[in-house]
Amino acid sequence: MKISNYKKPMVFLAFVCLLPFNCTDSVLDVNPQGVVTDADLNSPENVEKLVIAAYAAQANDFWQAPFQDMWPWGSVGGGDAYKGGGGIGDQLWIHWLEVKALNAPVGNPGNEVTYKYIYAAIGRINEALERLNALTDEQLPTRRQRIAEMNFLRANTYFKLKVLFKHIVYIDETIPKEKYVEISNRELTDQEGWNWIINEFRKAVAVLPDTQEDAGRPTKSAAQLFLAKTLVYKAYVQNDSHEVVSITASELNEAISLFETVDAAGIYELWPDYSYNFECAHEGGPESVWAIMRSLNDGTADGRINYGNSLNSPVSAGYGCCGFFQPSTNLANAFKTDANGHPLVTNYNEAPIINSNVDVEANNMDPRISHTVGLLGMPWKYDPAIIVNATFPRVPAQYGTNMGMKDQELPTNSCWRQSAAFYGSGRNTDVMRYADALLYWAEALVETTPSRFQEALPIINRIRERASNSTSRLVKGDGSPSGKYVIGLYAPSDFATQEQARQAVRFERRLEMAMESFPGRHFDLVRWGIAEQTLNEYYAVEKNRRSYLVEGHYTQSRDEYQPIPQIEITISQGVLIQNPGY
Amino acid sequence: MRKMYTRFICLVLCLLSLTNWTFGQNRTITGKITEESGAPLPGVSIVKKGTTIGTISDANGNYSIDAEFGSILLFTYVGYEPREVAIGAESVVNVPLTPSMQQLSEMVVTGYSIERKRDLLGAVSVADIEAIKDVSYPNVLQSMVGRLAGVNIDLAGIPGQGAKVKIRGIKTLGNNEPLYIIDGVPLQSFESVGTETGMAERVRQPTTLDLSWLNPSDIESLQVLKDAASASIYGSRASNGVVIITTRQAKGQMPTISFNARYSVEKVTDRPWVPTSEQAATLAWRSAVNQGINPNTVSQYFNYQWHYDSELGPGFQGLGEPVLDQINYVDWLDETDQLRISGHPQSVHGGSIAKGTDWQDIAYQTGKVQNYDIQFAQGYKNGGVRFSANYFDQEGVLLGNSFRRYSGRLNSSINFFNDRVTVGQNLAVSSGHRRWGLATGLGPSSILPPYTEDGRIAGPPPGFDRTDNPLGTVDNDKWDKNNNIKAFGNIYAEARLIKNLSFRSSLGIDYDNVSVRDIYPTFQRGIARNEVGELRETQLNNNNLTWSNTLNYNRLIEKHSFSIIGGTEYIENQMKSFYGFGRDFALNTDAYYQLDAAAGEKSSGGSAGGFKLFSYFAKANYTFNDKYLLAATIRRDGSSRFGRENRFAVFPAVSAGWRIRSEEFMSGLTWVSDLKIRGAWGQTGNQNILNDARFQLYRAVYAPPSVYLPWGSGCTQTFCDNAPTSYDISNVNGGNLPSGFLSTQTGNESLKWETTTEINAGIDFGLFDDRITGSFEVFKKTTDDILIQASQPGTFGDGNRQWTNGASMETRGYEFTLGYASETTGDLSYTVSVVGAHVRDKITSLPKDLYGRFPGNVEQNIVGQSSRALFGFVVKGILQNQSEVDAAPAYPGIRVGRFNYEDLNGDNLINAVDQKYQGVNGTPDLEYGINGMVRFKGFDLGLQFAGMAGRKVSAYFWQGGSQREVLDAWTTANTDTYVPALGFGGGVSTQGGGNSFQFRNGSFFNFRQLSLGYNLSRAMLSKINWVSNLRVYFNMDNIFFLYDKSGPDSFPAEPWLLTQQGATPGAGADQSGRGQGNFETRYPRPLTSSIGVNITF
Repeated sequence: MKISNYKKPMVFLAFVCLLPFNCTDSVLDVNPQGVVTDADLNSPENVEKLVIAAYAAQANDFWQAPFQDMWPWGSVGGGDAYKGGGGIGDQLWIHWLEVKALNAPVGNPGNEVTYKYIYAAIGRINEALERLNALTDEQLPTRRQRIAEMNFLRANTYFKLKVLFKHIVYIDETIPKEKYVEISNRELTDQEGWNWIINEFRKAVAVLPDTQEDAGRPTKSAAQLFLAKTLVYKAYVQNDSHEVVSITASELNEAISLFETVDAAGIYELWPDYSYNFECAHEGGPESVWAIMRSLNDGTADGRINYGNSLNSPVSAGYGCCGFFQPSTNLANAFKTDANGHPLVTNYNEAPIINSNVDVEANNMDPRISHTVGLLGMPWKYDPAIIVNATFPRVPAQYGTNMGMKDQELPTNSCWRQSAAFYGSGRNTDVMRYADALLYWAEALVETTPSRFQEALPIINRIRERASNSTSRLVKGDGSPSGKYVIGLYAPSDFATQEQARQAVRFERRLEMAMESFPGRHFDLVRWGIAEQTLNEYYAVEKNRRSYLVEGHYTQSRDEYQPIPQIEITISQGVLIQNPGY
Repeated sequence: MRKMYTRFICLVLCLLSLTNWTFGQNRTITGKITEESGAPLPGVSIVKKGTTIGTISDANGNYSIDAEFGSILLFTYVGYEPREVAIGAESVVNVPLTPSMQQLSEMVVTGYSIERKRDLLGAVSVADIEAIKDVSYPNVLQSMVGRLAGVNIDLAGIPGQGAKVKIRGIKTLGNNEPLYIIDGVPLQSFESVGTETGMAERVRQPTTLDLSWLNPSDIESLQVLKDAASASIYGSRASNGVVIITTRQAKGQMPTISFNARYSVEKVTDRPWVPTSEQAATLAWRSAVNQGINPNTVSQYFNYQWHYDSELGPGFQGLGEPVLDQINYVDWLDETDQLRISGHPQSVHGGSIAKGTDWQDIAYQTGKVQNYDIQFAQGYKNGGVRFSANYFDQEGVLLGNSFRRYSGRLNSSINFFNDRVTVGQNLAVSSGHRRWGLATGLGPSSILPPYTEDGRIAGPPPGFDRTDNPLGTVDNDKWDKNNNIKAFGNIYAEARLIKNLSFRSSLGIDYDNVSVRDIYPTFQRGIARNEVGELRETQLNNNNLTWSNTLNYNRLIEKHSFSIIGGTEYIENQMKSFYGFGRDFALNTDAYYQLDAAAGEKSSGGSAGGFKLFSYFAKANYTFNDKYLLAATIRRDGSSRFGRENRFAVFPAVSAGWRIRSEEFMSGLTWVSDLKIRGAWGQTGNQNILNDARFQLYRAVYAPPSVYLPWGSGCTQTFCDNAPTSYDISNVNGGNLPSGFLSTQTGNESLKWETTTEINAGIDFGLFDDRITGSFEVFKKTTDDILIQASQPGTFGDGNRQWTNGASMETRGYEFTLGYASETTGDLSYTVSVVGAHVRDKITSLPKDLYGRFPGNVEQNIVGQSSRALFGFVVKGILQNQSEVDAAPAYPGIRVGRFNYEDLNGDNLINAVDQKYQGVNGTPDLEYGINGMVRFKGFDLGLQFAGMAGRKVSAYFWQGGSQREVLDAWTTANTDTYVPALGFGGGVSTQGGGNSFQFRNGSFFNFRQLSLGYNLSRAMLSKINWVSNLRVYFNMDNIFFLYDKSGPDSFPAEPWLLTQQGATPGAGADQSGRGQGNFETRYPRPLTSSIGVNITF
């Protein structure tokens, strides 16, 4: 080609090359990968999976949002346990819950995270319900039952929020997400809030079947017991200062009849040995009303184990971290009994003090102490070969040497798992076991008008009888009893008055349910309206045992509930109203 | 996409068809370029003015170029005055060049084109690459601290870690990192592609915009486009400024081989204060007795004998002043794992029990850095080739940290058809090997000895804090690997189509392959232990293609000079990652940790993502009579990250300048050698969000890559993309669980570009024959539609991540550069230059739901304040006695020895509303650098200083106190102090939230660098005629810091770093009162001493 010819084609080609070619929008479309879109999820199979995801969220609790176990609020907040761990600053937010005093600012990170995680669980339920509603029974034959399961799950999840924060935002599947921020936590009164939850449980009771193929799904009787429990809570009417001003008999009577119905059906019973409730090997037994399913060897890296109490293992051999959740001396003392094997309801916290095996052998004791509190020198978790020693706790100088046993397993147990630096078990988490239901039943009988307190006696004795039968595993290496276990049933004379019965029922709840945190002692004390008195008495004595408790002080009309997280109030631009006192 | 390929094929055809053509219109001009002394000057750039046509003189100073009658040749060479020579009838033009300390007239790469620095209209900083050539950092940016006005460089200090660069301060609430362009190819960050994948943090972090893969010896020039007018040619991603790097090409036709070797040692000279055992014990005792608590119940480490003495004073409790008589320490005896009181004969503490273990002695070592470079270059008449290889090896000053790099680069070009067509390539391949070790020199309690009696690494015994022995943590990571292979470069073709019109097409690649091997071996050290080994292997590929095409037209018509560039650019990014996890390995050896060998659970995961960008751009420059300068830029960008409605945006810019010096009326002022004023306005964009930020997303999370706890990946207190959806609904305890989906993001199809608008005005001047030169600029930027994640209420639940265009910010500032160069006659010459900058940002609007992310209260919010505003109570002093307490405004916990706060609203109560904004954290009034260079015969001495003035920082108080001043805490016997009484845990009692006591003077002055070099004279070298240049040098970095010692001395060597870099904007210290938890910033800055040699053959 001649030089004179090169220019034209070159210029032409260059301009063709550079022509702002028609870059259609589709060239710049890049779709996300490995995710699903909104519309993909409406098929019946995927809606079933969203129901599973809603259950899964219930098991997504962890140490900073332990909303299933709720031990920081219930047991530590209620004087059954110390925070434990590596000193005051280790999980400082739980220390604030423990002492309820001075420098606990409104921004408690544990509350903030827990609030988010509980609403995340509610969000998954609403997501599932919205899509269940859009299907027909033909498309999904299980539809009505799944809706009822979601009602049950939602009611129980709101229950947790309510006992923590009292005034909460109620959201169901009909409200669009962008409206959430406009909904106040004061749209419903305290009592209306209970009604909202009760109504959800009623829907569940109406539809749920008597039996379920999958152990993780609630049955009709489970829903009845949860409904009854909620009715008991609602019966104690609080004013705006959280004082209990009246007790509504109609709620209690309805609860009583629900308890009677379920009990008559004989679906649930107490394990012959109390210890079975606290072992993997016996999970899902006749005493478990409804539980969070935990699992191991399930294809996940660390198992879907219980992270809610993963800080609570001893630091001794076989374990390693982190020594949280140590039973208080006050709690250990509560297990002392008199010559009749009855608890020392009024003077249990006076000398002698229960600190070690020496004290358990020297004093009459309710055997449940050795299922609950790992005391120095005592066998650990029914294994006489493992004796609690000073290496179990992490900072014994500060938090003493008592270690909680109920949420632990022996390190040799196959359901025990180390996950990173932490430890947890694959044992299901009972949200309600039948003894708990019996105690609510007894409580309702005592508090209703007119009181039927005498009828509570046999119910309490059922629990005590089982406790007295639960000593065979409380032995030393030589087979001899590890303590001086003396426990007796109550006689009608012990239930001569309503007040006597009330004391006995309340004390029994503490002994039976101690360190099982949901709902936990703090919530009981608030329900009964005696939190301020009980806890300030606790601090007055316990500070001589654990000196950091000098900070402890319970402020009436404030400490009954947690503050609404400040960040939520800020985001809502004042639509959310803070709880009184904060 | 099809169109793209069509275009490429078309280009190739274009080029192939050229092969039959020949050229040969111009005359060939030849000549020799020499120094004043007559010595030949190789490597001089010869450019035909107004074009990009040019050549370079060979080793004998000879050159040859085609030029027509009347054209002007421009001769430039670093360190010499440029010359312009008009071509007349003669065909041999010999040019002597005069040396200059000034480089005002250097050519500057400003984005798809080259301009004379003196013609610049925007704000551009040009780095002095010569001055940093002996510096030992692997990352060129680390050497630039204090050298570029308005460019803030934050050093991580960890081997192989990048430097964070901020150009002209903060202008957005998201990512403020600039765009990097190397040889015309943008460097792609992984950061924005990583988070959507659930990849472990540890994979993402080291690979974010980081230049440690680039051998600094390969860099020819580095310039920073600071204002919008300069940067807007890069439109879409240029709002944070642009760093342009050009790599070296072969120069001259003589083959050259040069070799550099350098060896450095690093030492930590300025250590943070850490209490001895005795001090820690005394502090713990004091804080306990202050609280009225029996000190023997609060510490597991110490036991005290003490009493109250009422004669010394009332003390806190009115029982008398507490007096400490004796401290008994515990030791750990390994055979029983038991604590024992000291004095035991088996105590394993070698040194004083009262001092205890100084973990810094253990954690710090002498760092060693080796660097070897070899370069081969050969120019030809029709092109050139340059090859370089580099080996860099750094062992850090903190145990376990190291970085090794092997890299090679090949740059070559070939000219065809009488230089009308050039085809070339630049390619670097780099293999980086990082090891992460200790992040801080701090360890567990000093009570713990480092080793057990039998020589094992000691671990925390029961009763101790779980903080592991740092030797143990390093040992745990000994088999970990983090390797990155990167290929970066381009191929290009340039053709002069017709007179004054040239075309260039460049295809660039940026490829990364990251592989991470993370082993958690089994071990047993006290209560720190792991019984089941774990292995996590991760692979990540990131591939970025850039194809740009430009047409360049230059024309000089009498006094009018034009240049116009137009072009298109297409960028495509793809990322893919996967990981495998396994646990339970029968053998605890490096070799056995393979996924196939895992006997326990196994899981795997992975993801993919990417984005595309397409742009058109044009730029026009016009100069009249070298006096009046005008430029305009326009760029239209489209990004796949935005929905179709808002996908494209246009970013325009205009600028103008007036070279006053060239006016007639200035001719009398001969002492003014240059004077130019200029102004510019422009817009740039930002799309720094996740690739799929606009989509509504659901994911199945059967098993998260790690446990889904907040320290696992992808799950924070705000978002949880990895909370599992699997559940054992049937209670079978094993097998495959049923699993569902969770919402991870709420979509926003109306998402659009974030836009920054900037006005810049500047003046450049030269006085006394350019002995004194300088420039001064002022700017104002406003950023609107800032891309930010909305704050959803907690009730929102899953999917509460949603991107919106929310906030606006304004950033203002000024910067200056001043230089003086001595006469160059004689043996002695010197230069001094000063750079300085001031910049302040302000949030001008913010959605109300985001107020909570920044400090403030119900009455005051962050709007109108800097995004880094300090907020808190005002401390008046310390309450000395009970009557002062009674008179002071009350707050929870008020008592003698604690703060007396200013009652700002006069209600005699201290609560949240008694706080106010008190300055800006970390942002100084003036950031400055002073650089000096003295040359005497063959010697050169360089000095560099840098600092910040008028700066506040927030000092955090740790439990146990990491500030020396806690020793001076208030007691009834020590009342003349500003440090309040110790509270729980030895910390200082504060109200919660910030206060003026924590806001300290953070100004500092740093003697940053001293370098001394000697070039062997030509006379000496003439005896060894195969060596053309030989240089030896000695170099010290980071020589000392001067700062206010009453300020935060927790890490005195690091005032650079006390800037909360890693923290979420506005997030306060965490609730435990500990610091920001950004441990990277705790890495010390060592004193580095280097020796090196540089030989050219």
